[in-house]
Amino acid sequence: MQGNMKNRYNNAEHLFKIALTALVGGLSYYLFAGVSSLNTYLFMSYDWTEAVIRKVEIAYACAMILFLIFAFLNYRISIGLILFLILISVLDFINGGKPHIEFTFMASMVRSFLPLGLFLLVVSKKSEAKNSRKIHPEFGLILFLKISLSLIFASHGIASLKLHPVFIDYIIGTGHYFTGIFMDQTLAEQILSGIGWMDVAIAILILFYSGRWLLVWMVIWTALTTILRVVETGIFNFPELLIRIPHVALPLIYLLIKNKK
Amino acid sequence: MTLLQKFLFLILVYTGILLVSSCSFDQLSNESHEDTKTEMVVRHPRVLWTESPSNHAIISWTSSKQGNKHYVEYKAIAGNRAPEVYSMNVNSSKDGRITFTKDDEVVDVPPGYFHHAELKGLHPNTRYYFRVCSDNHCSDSYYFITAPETGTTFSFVAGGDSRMGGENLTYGGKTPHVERQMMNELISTLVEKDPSIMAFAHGGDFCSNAYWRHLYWWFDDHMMTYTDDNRILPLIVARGNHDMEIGFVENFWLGDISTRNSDAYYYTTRMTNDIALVTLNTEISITGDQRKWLDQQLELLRPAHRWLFVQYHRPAWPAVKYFNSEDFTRIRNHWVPLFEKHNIDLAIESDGHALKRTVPIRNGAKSEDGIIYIGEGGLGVPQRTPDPHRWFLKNGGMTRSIHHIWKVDIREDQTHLTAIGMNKDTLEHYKIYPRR
Repeated sequence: MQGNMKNRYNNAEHLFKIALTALVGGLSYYLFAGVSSLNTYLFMSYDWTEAVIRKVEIAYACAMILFLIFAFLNYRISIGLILFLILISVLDFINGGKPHIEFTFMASMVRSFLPLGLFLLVVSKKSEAKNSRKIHPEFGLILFLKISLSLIFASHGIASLKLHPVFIDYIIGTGHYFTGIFMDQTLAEQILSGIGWMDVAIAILILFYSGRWLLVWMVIWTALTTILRVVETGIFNFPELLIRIPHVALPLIYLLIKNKK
Repeated sequence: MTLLQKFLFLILVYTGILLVSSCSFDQLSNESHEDTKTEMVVRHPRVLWTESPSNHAIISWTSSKQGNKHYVEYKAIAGNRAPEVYSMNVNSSKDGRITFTKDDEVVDVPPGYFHHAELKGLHPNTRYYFRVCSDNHCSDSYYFITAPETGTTFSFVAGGDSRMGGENLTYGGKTPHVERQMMNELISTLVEKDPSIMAFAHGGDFCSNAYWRHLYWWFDDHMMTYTDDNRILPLIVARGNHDMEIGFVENFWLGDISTRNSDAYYYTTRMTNDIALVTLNTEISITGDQRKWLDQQLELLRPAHRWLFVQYHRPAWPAVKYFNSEDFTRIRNHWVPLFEKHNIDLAIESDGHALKRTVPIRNGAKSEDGIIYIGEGGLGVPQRTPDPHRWFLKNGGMTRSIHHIWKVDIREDQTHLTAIGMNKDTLEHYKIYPRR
C-alpha cells in the first residue's frame, strides 16, 4: 500500500477506534449508573433483585470494555464486541416505551455492527490480494460503510417524516436555547419534514454515489445533530452524544479511504 | 466483480437488512376473527371524564361482534336502585374493530370491537344509572356520579403504571397482574368506605403496551375497581410511554375536546368551578403547541380556581430513573417554569415505579413556597428501589419502594394527600394549602 494511502487507512483505523470507544463509553455509563436496558429487562421479565442486577450490569460493562481493549490489540476480537452491542440494542427494543422505536432499533443495530467495520478496515490494510479475482476486503468495507450510512440516514429520515416528537423538541428547544423564542410547532414540523426528505434522499444517494461533497455534508450534519444532544438538554446528556459519535465517524472514514489514487 | 454485480450485491444485502429490521414491526392479523356462531357479548363498561365532568361523560365498552346498533341507556336516579326502565338513550358516537395483531392471536385473547358514547347535558352531582347495549344485548346496570358544579370539596384517587400484561404472559415467574388486581380491589374498598371519592386520575402506562392482548385484561381488571353496588369511578386518563400503540387511541376516546385533536391527550378537567386538573402528555412534543397551551391554560385557570393540579406521566423530579435523562430534563426546562410562574398547587407524576413526595420546589431548589410533586406509579407494576439521596426526596421529602395509590381530599382551606398501600395502610400523609 502506498505511503499516503497507508496514512489514510491508519487515520481511518484511529477513527473507528475512537468511535467504538465513544459508543462503548456511552453504553457503559448507563450500565454503571444502573439505568440500562439490561437492568429494566432483568427486573421486569425475570424478577431478579436489583442487587443482583447491579452486579450483572457492572460485570457486563467491564466485559465490554475489556473486549474493546482486546479488540484494539487483535482486530479479530472486535467481532465478539458486536454481540455485546447487539444485546443492548435488542433489549432496548424489547423493553419498548419509546416513540418510533422500530427506527431507533434500526439505527442502534447499525452502531452495533461498528466493530465489523474496524475488522474489514484492518483486513483491507493487510490484504495483498489487490489483483486477485476474489472479492477484495476493501469492497466489503465500502459496502459496510454505504449500508451503515444509508440505514442511519434512512431511519432518522423516516422518523423525521413521521414527525418524531423528540426531534420536534430538538428543533424548538435548540431555537429557544439560542434565541429565547419558542418556534411555532407547525414551523418546526415543516422544518423536520424537510430534514426527513433530505435524509431519505441521502440514504438512497449514498448507495450509488460517494462524492466528496455528499460525504462532507454527512459529516457536518451528523456532527451538528450529535452536538445538539448536549446543547438542548445540557451537558449531562453526554452519554447520548457519545453513543452517536459513530454517526460522525463513518462518513469521515469513508472520506479518508476513498480516492485511493 | 463488475460494477453492476457490485450494485446488485449491495441492493441484495440492503434489502436483507431491511427485511430483518421489518420483523420488529408488529404484524397485523389477516384473518377475520368474527365467529358467526359467537353470541354478542358486551364487556368492559367504563366511564371517562374529559373537560366538563359536571355535565358530560363518555361511556365506553367492547363487544364481541361488530353488530349494527350500539347505544347507552341511562337515567338520573336520586335513590340507590337501578331503574327498571331507562328513559334516555344515546347512540354510540364512535365504533370500530380493535386492531388485532398476530401476537394477539397467539395468546388467544378474544378479538373485540370498541364503542364510545357521549352523554351530554347531564345534571351536576347526580347519580346516573346506565347500561351499554350492542344489538340489544345489554350489560348489567352500573352508575356513576357527575361532578358538582360548584364548591371546593372534592376527592379523587390518583396513580399510574398498572402495567403488567395479559393472562398467559408471565413476569418473574408469577401471574402477572396479581398486584394490579389487588390495587384495583383497594380502589373499590376506598370508594365504598368514602363515597365522596369522585374520580380516578390515571397517570398512564396502563399495560406493557397498548395492544389488545394487554388492554383486554386491563379492562377486565379495571372492573375490580367497581363497588359492590356497581358504582364506576370515572377515569381521567393521561398517556404514558407504554401506551403508544393504536389500542390506546381506539379504546380511550376523549370525544371532541378543545385541544388540537383528541389524540393529543392533553386537556383540563374542571372538577368544580373552583378545582381544575390539567392533564398533560409527555409522549408528544414538550416544547411545541402543548407548552403554549399549558401557559395559556394556567394563566386562565389560576385566578379562577382555588385549587389547580397537573398530572402527566414522565416525572420532572424522578425518584428512580436517571435524573439527567433528556425526557425529564426537558420537562424541568419547559414545564416546571410554567408551573412555578402560575403557582400550581400540586403535580402528580408517574413512570418511576416507586412512591415519592418531593420537598416544595421552586427554581430548582427547596423553597417554602415551592410546588409539591407526588407519584410515581404504583398501581401494579413491580416497584423499583428509589434513590433517597436525591436532594428533593430528603430533608422533608420521602420515597419508598411500595405499591400505592394517592388519595387527594380537597377542602376549602387545605388538601390532604394520602398515599395508601395495598394493605390499606397509610404510607404517607401531607397537607398543602391554597395559594389563591
